[in-house]
Amino acid sequence: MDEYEELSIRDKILELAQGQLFGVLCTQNNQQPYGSMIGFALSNDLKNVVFATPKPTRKYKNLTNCKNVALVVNNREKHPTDLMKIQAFTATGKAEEILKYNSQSSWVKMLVNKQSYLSEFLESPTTALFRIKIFRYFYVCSFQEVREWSPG
Amino acid sequence: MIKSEEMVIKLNETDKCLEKYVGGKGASLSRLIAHGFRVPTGFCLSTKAYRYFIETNEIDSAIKVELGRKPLAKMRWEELWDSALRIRSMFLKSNMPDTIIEDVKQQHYIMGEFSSLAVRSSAPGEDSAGLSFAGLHESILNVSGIDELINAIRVVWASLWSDAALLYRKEMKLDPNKSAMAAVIQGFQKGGPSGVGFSKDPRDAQLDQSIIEAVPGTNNELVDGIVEPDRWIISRKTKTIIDQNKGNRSNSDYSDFLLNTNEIMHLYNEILDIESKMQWAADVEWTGKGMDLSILQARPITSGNQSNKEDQSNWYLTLRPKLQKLKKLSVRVNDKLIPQIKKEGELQSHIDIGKLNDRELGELIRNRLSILKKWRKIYYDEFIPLAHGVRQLGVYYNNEVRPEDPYEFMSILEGQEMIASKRNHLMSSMANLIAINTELHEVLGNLLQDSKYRDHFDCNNLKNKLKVTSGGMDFYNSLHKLTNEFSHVSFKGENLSDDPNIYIHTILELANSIKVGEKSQLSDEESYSDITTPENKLLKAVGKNRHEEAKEIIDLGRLSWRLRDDDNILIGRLESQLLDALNLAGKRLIENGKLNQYEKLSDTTALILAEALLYPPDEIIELPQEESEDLTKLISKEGKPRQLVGQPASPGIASGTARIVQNIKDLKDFKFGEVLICDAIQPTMTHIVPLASGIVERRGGMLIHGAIIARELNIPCVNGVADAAALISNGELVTVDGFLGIVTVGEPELNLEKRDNISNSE
Repeated sequence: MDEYEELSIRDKILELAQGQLFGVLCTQNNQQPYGSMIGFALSNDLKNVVFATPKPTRKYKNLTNCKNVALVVNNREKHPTDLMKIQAFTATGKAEEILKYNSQSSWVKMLVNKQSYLSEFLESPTTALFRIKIFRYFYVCSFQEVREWSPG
Repeated sequence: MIKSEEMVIKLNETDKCLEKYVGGKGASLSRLIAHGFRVPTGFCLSTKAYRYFIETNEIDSAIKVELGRKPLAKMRWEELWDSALRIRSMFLKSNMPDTIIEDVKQQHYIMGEFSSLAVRSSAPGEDSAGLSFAGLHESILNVSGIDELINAIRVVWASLWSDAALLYRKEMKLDPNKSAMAAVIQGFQKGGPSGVGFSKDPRDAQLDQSIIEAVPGTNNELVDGIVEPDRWIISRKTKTIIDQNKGNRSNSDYSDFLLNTNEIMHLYNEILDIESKMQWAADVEWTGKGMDLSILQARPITSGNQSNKEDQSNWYLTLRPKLQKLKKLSVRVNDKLIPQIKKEGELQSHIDIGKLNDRELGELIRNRLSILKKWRKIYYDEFIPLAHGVRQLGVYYNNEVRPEDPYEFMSILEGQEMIASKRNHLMSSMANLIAINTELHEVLGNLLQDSKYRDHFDCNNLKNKLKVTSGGMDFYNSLHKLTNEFSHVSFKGENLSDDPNIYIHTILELANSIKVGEKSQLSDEESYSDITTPENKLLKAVGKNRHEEAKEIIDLGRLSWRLRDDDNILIGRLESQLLDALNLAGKRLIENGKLNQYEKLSDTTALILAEALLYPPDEIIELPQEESEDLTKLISKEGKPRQLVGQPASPGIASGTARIVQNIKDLKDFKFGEVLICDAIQPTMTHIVPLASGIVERRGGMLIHGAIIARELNIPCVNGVADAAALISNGELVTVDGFLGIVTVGEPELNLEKRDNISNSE
C-alpha cells in the first residue's frame, strides 16, 4: 500500500498545507462572496491559520463585516495532468484581527518562518494580521472523495 | 504534430528500433533480423503513435479517472475487469487519426495488399529479465484488409489495459499511467507446425537441457491449451534428444511427430544461436520447418526457478479462459456439480437432527463441516471461473456492437429463472395479495407490532389468526412454501429459517410500496421491441453467418450468470444445515452445563462443539471470541465521510435514510425507501432489494449480484465504496448517485460555525 494512503487525514492535511505557500481565502460581504490569494501559515495542531493583508483591501473590509471565512488549499501544480491525484482542502472557521503584535509575537514568527518575505510587510502600519480559528476541514482527493475532519 | 517517421518504424531499421519506441517484442525482432535470423517482414506502430492516438481522443484523461477512483492496491480483480472493459470500449469507439491511417495504409500496401497479417502487442519492458507480460496483452492473427488492420491495432493497444495486465502491474507495483504500447505488424505465415522453444529448461535451469514443443497449426492453440503439443527434451551437453512425447490429438493426419529429427535439430540450433547472439537464455516462438522456419518472437526466459518469485503472470493468464474451456466447464457445472450439491442438500435435509444422540450429532457436525469445505473448494475452483462466461459475453458484445454503455450487454442476462428470482416472485405475489386485502394487511401488521410474537416466531399463533382472516390461509400456504423451499439458507452465520418473520416483514413493506393499479417492481417486464433488444442488436451486428457463434456465447453467458446465482444459494443451504446442527449442539451443551453461552457459531467453533459432544469434557468449554473491528477509530483516522466515491453500478439518483445490513436482524428492520448499505449483496438476501431506494456496497464490480439486480430493478447503486458500512451510520441521510458513482452523506446544507468570543491571547 502506498505510504501516503496509510497517513491519517490529519497528517494528510498537514502535509498538504506545509507543502503550499498560498491558498484562496473566501470572504463575503452582503451575500456577495469574494476570493483572494493569500500567503498563509498553519499551526501544527491545525487549529489556526495566520495571514496578513493590507488594510485598504476588499478582503479586509469583508473581514471586518463578517468573520466567517473559508480557505482553499490544493497541490494541483504537482499533478498538472492528473485530476485524480490532486488533493485539496477547504478549511472553515472564523477570522479575527490580531490588533497588537510585534516581530517577537508567536503568530508573526509562525507566518514569517514560512513566508520570510512578509517580515517587512508586517511592519507597515497599514498591514493587518489575522488569525483564523479553524473549526473543520473538508479534505478532497480522487476528484470527488470528500472527508470532514475537525481539529477539535 | 507527430511525424510519420516517428509513428512507423520498420523492423529492419534496427538503429531506430529502440525499445522505448517499439516495445520489447519489436526491439527483439529487430535485433534478430540484424543477426540474420528469418523473421516475417513487418513494421512497428510506435509508442509515440499510441500516445498520439490516446491524447487525440482524450482517452488518457479517461484512463486516469478510471484508475484514480480508488488506489490500485485496493481494487478487487472484478473492479479492474470493469475498468478494463470501459477502457477497451473507449479504444474501440475512438477515431484513429488520419495521419496514422495513412501511414498504416502505405505500409500495408508495401507489404502486399492481399497479405494476411499478424498484429502483436509490444510494450516497453514487457519482456525484460524481471517481468513477463507474455500472454497478458493481445495479438490478433490472420488480419486482412485495412479496416480489419486498423481495428486490430485498436484492440491490441486496448489490451495494455486488460484486467490481467492491470492486475499484473498491481502485483509488480508498476504505475499503469506510465505504460505505453507499440504494435508489431508482420506478415502472417499460415499453416504450421508452430511452437515454442526454450534454450534452457524454464522449470529448472540447473537441468542443463532445452525444450521444444510443437502443434499442427498456430501457436494460439498451444498457448490456449486447445491442442496438446509434441514435446522434445534435448541435452545441451550432448546435443541429442533425450526424451520425446507425442501430443494426444484426435486428428489422424498427425499420427507422426510433427517434426523429424533433422528438423528438430535445425530448430534447436537456431534457438541456441539466438541464445548466443542475444546473450540471454531464450524463450522462442517459431513457425514452419526446414527452409520455411521463421522466428516469431524471442525473449529472455522468466519462469521456473527465476529469482522473481512474486511474478504471478501465469495465474493471470487463467483469467481469460477460452470459449472451449468455458463450455466444458459449464457442462460439468450444470450437468454434474449443481445436481450433486442439490442432492447433497436434500440428503442432509432428510436427517431429523433432533433424534440424534450426542455422539451422532457430533459425527454429523464433522460430516457437514467436511461437506461444506469440499463444496467451498469446488466453489473457488470451478464455480467462480464459470463467471467468466458472463465476461466473455461482455467483451464479445462490445467488440461487435460498440454500444455507448459498455454494460448494455447485462440486460441479456435478465429475467432468468434462478432460485433467488423464483423466491422473489413468490414474495411479490404474496405482497400483491396483501396490498388488495386490508384485513389481511392489518392482521399481519398487528402481529409484527406485538413484541412477543415479533421476537419469537410462533407458527401456531400465526396460523390461528390467519384461519379466521379472509385470504389468510392462501397467505399461510404461500409462506409455508416460501420457508420450506427457500429459507434454508444462511446469512452472515445465521439461519433465515429460524425466523420467518423476516420474510413477513419484507412482504408487508413490499405491499406498502405497491399502490392499487400499479404493477410490483418484481413482476414488471421491460417491453423491448424486437428490433432494439440487446440480443437482437448483437445478432444484427455479427451477421447471419455468425449467428450460431453469437447464440453460443449468449447462452454461455446466461448459463454462467444463472449458475453463479444458484450455486451461492445452494452453498448457503449447506451452511444453514451446519448451523442447525451447531445450534442444537450449543443448546445441548448449555443444558449439560458444558457451555456457558454462545453468540455466533461458525466453522471455527464447529470442531470444538463436535469434539465436546463426542468426548464430553470435564470443564466448561470456552469458545473463541470473534474480534470486532473498532469502527470509531476508522472515522477518527480517515475523517467523517461527506462524499464517498465508488463505481457507478446502476444509473439513477436517490436519497433516503441509511440502513446498514450486516445480520438477520437488520434484514428484518429494513424499510421501504431506505438506502441499503452493506458489505455485499448475496443471493440469500436479495429479497429485500426491491424495498431499497438506493444501494451502496463495499464490494465492487459491475457483474456482482447487487449490481445486476439493481440494474434489473432500476435502483441506483454505487459499489466498491471502501468501508461503506463502517463509515456510514444508520439513520443518516444518504444520496446515491448511480450516474457518477458518488455517495453523499448528510444534509446538503452546511451549518456555519456559530462560535463567538475567540481569544486573542498569544
